[in-house]
Amino acid sequence: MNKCPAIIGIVFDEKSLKAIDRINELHELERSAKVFISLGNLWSIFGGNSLKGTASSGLSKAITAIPAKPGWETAKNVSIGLGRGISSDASQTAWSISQANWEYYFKSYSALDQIKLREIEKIATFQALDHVHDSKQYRFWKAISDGCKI
Amino acid sequence: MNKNAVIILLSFFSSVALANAKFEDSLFKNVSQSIDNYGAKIKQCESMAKQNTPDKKTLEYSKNHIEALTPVLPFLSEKAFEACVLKEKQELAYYLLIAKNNASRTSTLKLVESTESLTFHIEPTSIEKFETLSKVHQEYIEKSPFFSRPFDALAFYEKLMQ
Repeated sequence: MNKCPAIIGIVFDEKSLKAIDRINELHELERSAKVFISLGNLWSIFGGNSLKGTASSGLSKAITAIPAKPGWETAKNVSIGLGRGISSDASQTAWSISQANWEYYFKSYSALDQIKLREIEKIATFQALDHVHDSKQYRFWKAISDGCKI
Repeated sequence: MNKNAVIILLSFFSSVALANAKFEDSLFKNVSQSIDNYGAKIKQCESMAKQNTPDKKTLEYSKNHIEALTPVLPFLSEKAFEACVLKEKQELAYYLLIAKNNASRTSTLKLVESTESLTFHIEPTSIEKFETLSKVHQEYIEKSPFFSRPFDALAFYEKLMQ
């Protein structure tokens, strides 16, 4: 990134002002998307299916505690079947939390930055080339395109 | 009521709840992963744009027609970039649409809303200006290998001005 220039006495026209508003909106949208991606990941990890391994281990223990009385036999068999279905991948669930969920979380978190920066660059390029006859606004938008912040 | 029936009913409802949670998770993960893929592709295409430098012939042609080409540079650069990220952007649009219509979790729906506005906002482009270019310029641009790959429009413009 080049050094951000100091542009004195710049006057923005309506197009530039609209573009600045859109850039501010992009910052807001990115922040909001990051909050919801965090919430969604936390939900997936601690409240969704990733938790089922842990929960079902407890469930399996609870099922074995069902007394082996004649009336309870069918219930116990059904519960064991269900418990197996749920808890068979307990070890896999631990893997899925550490490898997949966190990986998705951090990757998509930084991908949102990438998407926002791309949109800002697009706006800045468009604005710079729209203001080639106004050197101050051109320099401003060129600086934004090079990575300077508003 | 029979205890067996209660347990069977509970088992049934917990299975339904688990299946629903699994479905919601898959909607979220698909959106999250397609955001990741799209971000990675943007990075790749940006690096392609940095490496894409015009050859002497393109530079000379563009310098000779700088007044006509300058207004369409953002459109040309955007068109080449969109072609580069097309597959990943389409995939993201597809998963956003699926999640938008099927998710019930607020966090997923809000993520869809923010990502959609972040990615699929319609900007004014210079397509109209491109269409007003003469057929000769349009054909030259469409056949040019430089303009068909992502490129840095501002860096190119500054090269033309040198």
